[in-house]
Amino acid sequence: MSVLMMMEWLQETSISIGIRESIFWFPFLIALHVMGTVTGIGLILALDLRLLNWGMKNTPLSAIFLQLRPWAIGGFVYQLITGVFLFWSEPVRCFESWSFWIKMIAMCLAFGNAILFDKMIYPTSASWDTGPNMPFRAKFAGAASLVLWTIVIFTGRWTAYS
Amino acid sequence: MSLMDFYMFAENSPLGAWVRSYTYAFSLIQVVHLLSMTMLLGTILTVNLRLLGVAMTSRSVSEVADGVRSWSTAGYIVTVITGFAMFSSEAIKMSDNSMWSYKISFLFVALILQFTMYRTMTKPGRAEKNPILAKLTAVLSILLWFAVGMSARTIAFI
Repeated sequence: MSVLMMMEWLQETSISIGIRESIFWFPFLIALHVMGTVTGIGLILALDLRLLNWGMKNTPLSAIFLQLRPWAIGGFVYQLITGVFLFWSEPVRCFESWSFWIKMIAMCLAFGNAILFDKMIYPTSASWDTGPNMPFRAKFAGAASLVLWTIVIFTGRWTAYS
Repeated sequence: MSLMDFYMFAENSPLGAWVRSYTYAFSLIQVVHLLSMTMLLGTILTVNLRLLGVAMTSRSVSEVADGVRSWSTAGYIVTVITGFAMFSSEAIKMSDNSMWSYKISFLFVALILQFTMYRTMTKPGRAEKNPILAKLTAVLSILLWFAVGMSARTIAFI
């Protein structure tokens, strides 16, 4: 069974048809999903600005990272849940959309970048926590995060057009 | 000038005509609108979580607000410009769209809150002196902005 056939099967499940054909559920889910962007990516932005020394210059990195992390993770869990249902409602269209695939790849890279920062870069931050300037690896992680999440938002919205 | 005159003016403006004249102009402007909206609401949410006392509690409210203020301002500017460009391209259609009316109404109230209570509560010492008012401001701000965003996203489905 090919992946496309699996997508076709998924598209015929009652939940998929129910969301797709409802005048309420698809718009409602997509509206929830758009606002989740703010709680996931929007909060990461504060951290990225600090890493690049473009904003929150008087605030130690640890105060931003440790305190916003649980909220950003919560935002991403919410995004995954609403995103799964949106995907479920039109899997074949997503499967055939180049924009959707770029979004998925950029999202995986952005999560990878976040995990690397969490496990490898942040633990070494004791000597540069209060900045103002961050070492190159920290700036790079912040810039990569900004670029990758921008691509995710761009291609996420573009999936409706491609 | 009646409200309908304003819709007509926007629809017939060079900006509206320019957006309509390129196949991908509207979609590209919409993506930029979404990106600047994330910047605007993400920075406001950071401050709101601090106002609620649930994040960055080791730092003062005004420090958090000052740290992101210029990014919120940039977010406002780009979101308003791109929003107006999209509106101009289909202003007459919007005059009859209930979700658009909801969006603008919520936006109006949200902006009033931002330039009154939110602005006051993010000044040095204010939130610390009025913790209940600070929390109320944050709750109202979060709810109003979510209402703006959700009604905005459903404009296309009306």
